Amino acid sequence: MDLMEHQAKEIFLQYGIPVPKGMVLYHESALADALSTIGVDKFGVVKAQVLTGGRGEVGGIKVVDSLTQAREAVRAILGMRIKGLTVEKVLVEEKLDIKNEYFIGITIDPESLPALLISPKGGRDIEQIAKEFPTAIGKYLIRLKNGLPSFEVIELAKSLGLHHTLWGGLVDIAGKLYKAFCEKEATLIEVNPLVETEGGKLIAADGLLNVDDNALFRHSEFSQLRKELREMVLKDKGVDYIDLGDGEVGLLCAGAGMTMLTMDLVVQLGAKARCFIDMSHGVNPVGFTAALEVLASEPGVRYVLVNMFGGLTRMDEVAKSMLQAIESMGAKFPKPMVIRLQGTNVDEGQRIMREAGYEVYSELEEVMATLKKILEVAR
Amino acid sequence: MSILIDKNTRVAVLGMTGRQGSFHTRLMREEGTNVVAGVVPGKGGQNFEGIPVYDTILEARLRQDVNACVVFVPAPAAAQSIMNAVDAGIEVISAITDGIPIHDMLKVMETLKGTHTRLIGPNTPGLITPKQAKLGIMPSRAYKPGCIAVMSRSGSLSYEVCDELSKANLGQTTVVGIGGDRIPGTTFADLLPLFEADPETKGIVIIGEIGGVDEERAAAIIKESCLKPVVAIIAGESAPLGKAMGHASAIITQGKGTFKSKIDAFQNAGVKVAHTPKCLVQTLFGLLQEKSRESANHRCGARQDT
Repeated sequence: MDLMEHQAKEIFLQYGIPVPKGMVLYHESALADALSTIGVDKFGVVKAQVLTGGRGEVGGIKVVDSLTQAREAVRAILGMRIKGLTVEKVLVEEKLDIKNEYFIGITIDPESLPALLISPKGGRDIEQIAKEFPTAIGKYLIRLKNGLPSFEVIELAKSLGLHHTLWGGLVDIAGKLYKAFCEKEATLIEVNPLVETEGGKLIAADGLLNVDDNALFRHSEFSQLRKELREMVLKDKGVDYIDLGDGEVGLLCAGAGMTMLTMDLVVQLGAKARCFIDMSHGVNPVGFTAALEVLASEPGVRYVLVNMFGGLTRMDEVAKSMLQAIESMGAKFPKPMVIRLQGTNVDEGQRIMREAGYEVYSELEEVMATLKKILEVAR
Repeated sequence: MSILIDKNTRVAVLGMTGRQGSFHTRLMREEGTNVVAGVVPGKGGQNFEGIPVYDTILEARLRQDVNACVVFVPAPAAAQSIMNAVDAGIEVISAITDGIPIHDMLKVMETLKGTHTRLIGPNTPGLITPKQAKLGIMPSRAYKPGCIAVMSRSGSLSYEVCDELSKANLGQTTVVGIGGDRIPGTTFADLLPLFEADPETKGIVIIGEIGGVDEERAAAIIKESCLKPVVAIIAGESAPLGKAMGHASAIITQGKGTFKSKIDAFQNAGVKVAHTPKCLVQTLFGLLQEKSRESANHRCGARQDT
């Protein structure tokens, strides 16, 4: 689960990592409050709070000099659409006197160990740093037994040519990040940029925190956040839902690999998948009702492709659950739907669907050919 | 021949009496698996359909000479079960459990270091040597004995591919699901030398997906030291950046793990990449025929020399 910037910063604060003074607004009317909290002279930056990268490029971050400008910025950003998501809140913050911008973060390396990453080229995303300044990223693999010894952070900073006056601050922040990384069971914690102010202080100007979905059962502190996310609410019903942003075909499959391949096959037909639903954990009427309601109500989805090859998933249960779900929604599914069922208990599953008046295919090629015809007719 | 497991493997099922454990214990036995023990703390001394149940894996190992186990233990306790099995000296652990916290897996990986245990998974359908041993949950009807090795990150896609292989009369030596988690106990790169050394394996299928660097590493090994024909399929060509596609590991981050980088790595290593399961089977079929013609020619040439 990704946290928004302001949520990540709240956690940074809990671990003693300095962040800019700021306040979250849902409406411009709270702007005066924010102003007095932050201080009129230090005001400010207005930042869209939305769970996607690249908000700066589309005007989701604005630097402002006056109350009028701030009001305009808040008005412009609230309600803005960024990569298909609506901005419902903004973070208003103090302006920092930036001397330098660094990158510091901890992630899980392909070596199956936590990795501390530091770069002197902060302020742009890590992909961009890797591309433009491949030698300007330092990495240290953390052994769980040893933790993060301060001399290793210093060695890393030194190897990157960072001035020795920064070392103490980096050791401090790296240690706190690692503590948060372990205790919050993060898969990624990142400060970018870590700002060095003209006064020589290090402040986390932006933050990313992704906590492990699988560990949320032992982190009640995130339960409220969880409820606010549509993908998480669906996950609780056994429905793994991924919004792909644009496209016209809704995928309903079982197994992540199968869903991914189906998504690729749709692209080979010259169309695109609008969303990706893996039903492996939700083969029951509740799961199917939740999934089909999403597919029925999502305006981008114009066709539905059901493709399942069950191992653990039993096709008779798929058929029964799906029909029960459709019935509970009102007799007929409102969009064209093509179905392929294969694997465990397939004969029974296909029979149930056919008796209810649905055409069902056994082979992947057949169902893709049918979808192709439907797409061609529509065009 | 096969790798890792065969009909002599002595298997314990961890979490045998749970819903999944009991259902799949029956199916594993139907495939011929030599299930000799169950492990369920608190149920030691009972038996499940004639199989003795023990409180700990160590006890099961000592009493029944267990050398492999399948883990159906629910996610919150699964990592501890795996570490117990490592400590008990089990050689092959097939961890079916989905949803093990990643920080738990970091500890498991540290425990595994320097031991002789091979952990398959977690979040995998397991592994199968058809008609001999199945340590997992895959639908048996998609598999039959033969000469093709299959390894896959995805469960569902491996069923699809093995079904196509079996229909084309290309049975399998051993099929291994390495699982869809960020931290797999075993990687493609670990398995390749085993399949390369297995005399019965004539061809290798890799079912990969976007994310991670496992396919790239496998490609490097194939280029270096693999003589058998290898074909691959990779799911996730059309996935957007930075979104995990159902599998925690199927995510493109820091510019790594893209579809293109995997295709390039494979092609550079001489691995044919197919776009659909059917094409993959056809490609493999062609390669095997070529190979057998080559070796026939080779034999003729040798005769002429003498």
